[in-house]
Amino acid sequence: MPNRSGQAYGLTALSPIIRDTGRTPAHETEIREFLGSLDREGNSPFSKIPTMHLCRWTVIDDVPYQAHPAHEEHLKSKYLMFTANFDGDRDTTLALMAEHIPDTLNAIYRHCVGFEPVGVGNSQAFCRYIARCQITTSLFFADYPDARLSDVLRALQLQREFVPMMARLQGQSPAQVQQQFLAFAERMQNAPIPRPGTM
Amino acid sequence: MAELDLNDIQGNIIKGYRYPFARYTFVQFINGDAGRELLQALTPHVTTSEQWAYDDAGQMIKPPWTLNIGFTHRGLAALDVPADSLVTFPIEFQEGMRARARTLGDDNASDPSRWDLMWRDDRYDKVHAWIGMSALSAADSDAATVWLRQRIEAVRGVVELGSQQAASFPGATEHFGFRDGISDPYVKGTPYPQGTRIGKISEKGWEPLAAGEFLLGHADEAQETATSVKPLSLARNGTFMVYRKLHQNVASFREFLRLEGAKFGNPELLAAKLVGRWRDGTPLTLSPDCQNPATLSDNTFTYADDPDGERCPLSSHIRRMNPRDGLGFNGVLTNRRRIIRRGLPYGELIPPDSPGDDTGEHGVIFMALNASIERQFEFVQNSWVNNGNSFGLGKDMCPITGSHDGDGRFVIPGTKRDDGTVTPPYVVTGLPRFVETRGGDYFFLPSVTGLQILANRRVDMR
Repeated sequence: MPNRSGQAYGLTALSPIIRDTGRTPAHETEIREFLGSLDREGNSPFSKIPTMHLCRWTVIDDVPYQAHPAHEEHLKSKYLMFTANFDGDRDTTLALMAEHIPDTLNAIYRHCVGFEPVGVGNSQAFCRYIARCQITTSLFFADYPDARLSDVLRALQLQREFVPMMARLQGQSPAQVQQQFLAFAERMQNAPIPRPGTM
Repeated sequence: MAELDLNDIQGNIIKGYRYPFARYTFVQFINGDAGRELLQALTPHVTTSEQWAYDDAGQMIKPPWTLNIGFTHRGLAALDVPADSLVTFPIEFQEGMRARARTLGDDNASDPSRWDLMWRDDRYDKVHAWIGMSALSAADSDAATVWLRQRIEAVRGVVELGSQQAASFPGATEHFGFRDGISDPYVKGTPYPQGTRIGKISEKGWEPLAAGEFLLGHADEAQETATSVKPLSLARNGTFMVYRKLHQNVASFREFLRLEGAKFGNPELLAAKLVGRWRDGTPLTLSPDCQNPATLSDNTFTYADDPDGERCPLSSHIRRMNPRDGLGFNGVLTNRRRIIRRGLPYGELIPPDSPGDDTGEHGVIFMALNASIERQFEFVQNSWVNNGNSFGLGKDMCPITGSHDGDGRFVIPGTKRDDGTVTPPYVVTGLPRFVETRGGDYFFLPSVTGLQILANRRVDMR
């Protein structure tokens, strides 16, 4: 099924970038400049979206020409591509983006055709805008289609803590190991889910 | 496929010499004429892969010493190889090993700034050629060195930068006390008996690997030729060699085995689990409880029956260096990552019952031969030695050769035997770095034809 794999949603959106050759820097140059300044580690804006697994923005200039006998073709516009893989349905995550990172979205999409700035209370406008730009993701591969972001973060946390615990318990009696294992399991179950971008 | 041109391929590549002594000499060509004059003197004496005859008693008749030559990219430039040929060499070879330190995990104690003097600073840039001479005895090695030095000194403009001696120990062990050099790739188109060499797993059993995995200009396991080195006359039957001087921290290793082995309850089993073989070379996969000389000649074992590493841990040295079928898909993920290992220990044998030391001159001269350093040696070093993700082990590194800094981890999986005996898993933490890089570089070993082309400045790009 396009756009979906298990509970995961695969979104692809192409937003035309405003063309204005009388303006320097060009709109696409400003987008690239801004995207390059974003934090890729723990403080990425996407770490604030609790359903987001993987995503990226990238600027598409044109179709590369691959020499004869290929046809020479061109796009009508330069595009900003947004590809994302997140939990649940499309509009929930888009609304979360509008709510949590409006300044980031405005800084990027103000260079795109037909975009209206995201402000308090108009998250639906951003959903509608991206929906207009969406193209069908016909071949969508999700590595773990049924695990939500919280499941993945929990699993990574468990993996990171389990082996050191085993090392600490080495040499103790089976009863002691079991007792501490049960305490570990309970502690893990009640531990807060790690913040995205920290694992 | 046709038989390989054994008398065009340099020796010690597709079949090891197995000589007990060696000296590796590194030289600089002050100018191209000087380099070519030396090559003209040496090329007629270069040892090839030709088959040696046997005497009436069935003993192989080996020459007293052998001669082989390889060049860095800087060396090829010094020999006036034209720029349009130089740019066709793979980027990792052009850059040289020092520039690849991050990929190789050569950091901290292995950082190039701490390498031996000959491999440091501007001296490194002067290393143009490696001249390898193996010998049957110490006297033969000395004679070979005298022979070579006479030829070097006869040429004005060739400088000997330094040399490295190496010699085998009884039982072909290395400084940590394990038998070394057992497993060796078996290559298609060679007439040698297979011995303990292994190729690839197929539906029909073990088969030789495509020659193109180890020689330029031949089809490889992907039915491609590995590199685009031009001209083909220079590339064909040549290969790339990784030369690494690897220091061994013998005291640290022995102290670790003593302390951690006591906690584990069986120091020798712990040692075997780290390596994947007992000290005499017996594979754990075939004999998990004790050394067993009867299994020594069998190197065609697989990991299909031991997917979780209950016998041979997933993180053990030999399972990382050659996972065989351990990554699934009947071994195809391994076939393009094989390397041919050559080399000998250097330094004096340290008595096994002493604590040993970390500071002396002792280790192994590691030489790896492959058609693509980037796809084969560097991948193994980067993804299989200094990472564990391919084996489901996260960031765990090889317990023997990984770039640890006192923070390494090694997991010995628990076992459940058919008789119901259960052994819990054992986790080693705080592993130090047992092996440190002290220098080395990437070399191109041309064929005899290639050596003639270089010696006569006949690199023809037309």
